[in-house]
Amino acid sequence: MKVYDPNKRVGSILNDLEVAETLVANLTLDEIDDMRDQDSPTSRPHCPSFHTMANMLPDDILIEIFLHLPTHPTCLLRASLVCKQWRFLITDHEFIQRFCAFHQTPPVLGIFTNSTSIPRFLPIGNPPECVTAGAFSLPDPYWQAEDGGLGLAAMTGFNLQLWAWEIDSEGVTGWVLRKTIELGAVLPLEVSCLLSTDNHLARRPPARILGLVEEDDLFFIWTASGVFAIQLKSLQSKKAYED
Amino acid sequence: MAAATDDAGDSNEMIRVVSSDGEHFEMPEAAANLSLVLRHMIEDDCADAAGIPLAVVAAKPLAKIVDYCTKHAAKSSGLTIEEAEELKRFDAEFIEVDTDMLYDLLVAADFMGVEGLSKLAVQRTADLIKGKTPEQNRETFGIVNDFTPEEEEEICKENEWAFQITKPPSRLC
Repeated sequence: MKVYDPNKRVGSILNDLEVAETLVANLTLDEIDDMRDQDSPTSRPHCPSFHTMANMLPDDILIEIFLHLPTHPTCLLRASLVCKQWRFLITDHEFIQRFCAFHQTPPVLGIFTNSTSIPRFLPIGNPPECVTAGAFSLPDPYWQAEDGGLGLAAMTGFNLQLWAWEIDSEGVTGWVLRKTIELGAVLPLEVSCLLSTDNHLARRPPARILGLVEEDDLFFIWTASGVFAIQLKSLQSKKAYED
Repeated sequence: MAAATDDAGDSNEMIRVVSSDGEHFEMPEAAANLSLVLRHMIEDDCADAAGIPLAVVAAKPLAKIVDYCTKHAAKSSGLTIEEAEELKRFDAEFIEVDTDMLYDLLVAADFMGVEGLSKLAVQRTADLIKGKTPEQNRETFGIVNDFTPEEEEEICKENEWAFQITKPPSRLC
């Protein structure tokens, strides 16, 4: 409890009221502020600029305004950095869902190019409506874009990894590893052996994704002993082409 | 009883409204009908010579709203392409207002249930926000930055993927 300070006492004229009210009235301003902070850590942060225009707007009007911002994620992000109230409303999970439903078509953030030996993500747009080139990079360079929702297939050594770009329950977006397929267990035994020895000799990766057929979940994997088609659901493999 | 009709041509009756600061305005019933609140008042026979009191709408924004409704009610149905274009131009000019008026219009249109005007004001505000840095937005809307530098830095760090790294964090966020 804070030290009694008669100058800061709130509502001392209420002293002869009921006990409960007196207790509230006897709190110092600081204590009331403290209580506010503790009581509702998730509720709207207190804005000191309460008299200004945007802060006086009711939440539902502000939300309506934010819904009409362009779909490029940097726009919402920058708006969320204006003040705590804006951030609170914009980062709300329900709002994000409404925003996606409202705009329907997600923005094109960039393209993947494999014109060089290492496939790269090339952002589209001019700053500030532009994400960083590193935004969609993965540790392993050998990957290709996968499906209609944002997905990636990546090769790390002899494992085929399927990543998805997702928003978690706290509204944080990032790459989530959905599935790892050990190619050694899927491809014929002699290929696995060949590849594991190859791995030591050559600098090239033992297997590479050549392409995929989305509707069939069919991946074409290049190996030194030929090209294999792997069906993701059944995990059946079939040699498609021999070098 | 005031005839509640959706057809602008059938009713010449004028509806009186009174702003929160006591100013009187008049508009055709078809214009008043564009406001959900006024339409309900008219339907409930609350529109009389004394005028419908609008306790939270001051004279300045109310004058604009009366303008908006009158213009839109006169051109409500069967628009030619030229008329539609003209209405679009009217809207574009109409909403070229300072942020104080924009705020008043947002709140008043929402309160009065004037859907078209609400959308117009919301889109205008969104257009003002987009493409601006947080600092520019604070300036435009008179908002005080209530983040601590540490909080700001943390948010920027969390969202590094979205910001170009060629500029220092304070400027890109």
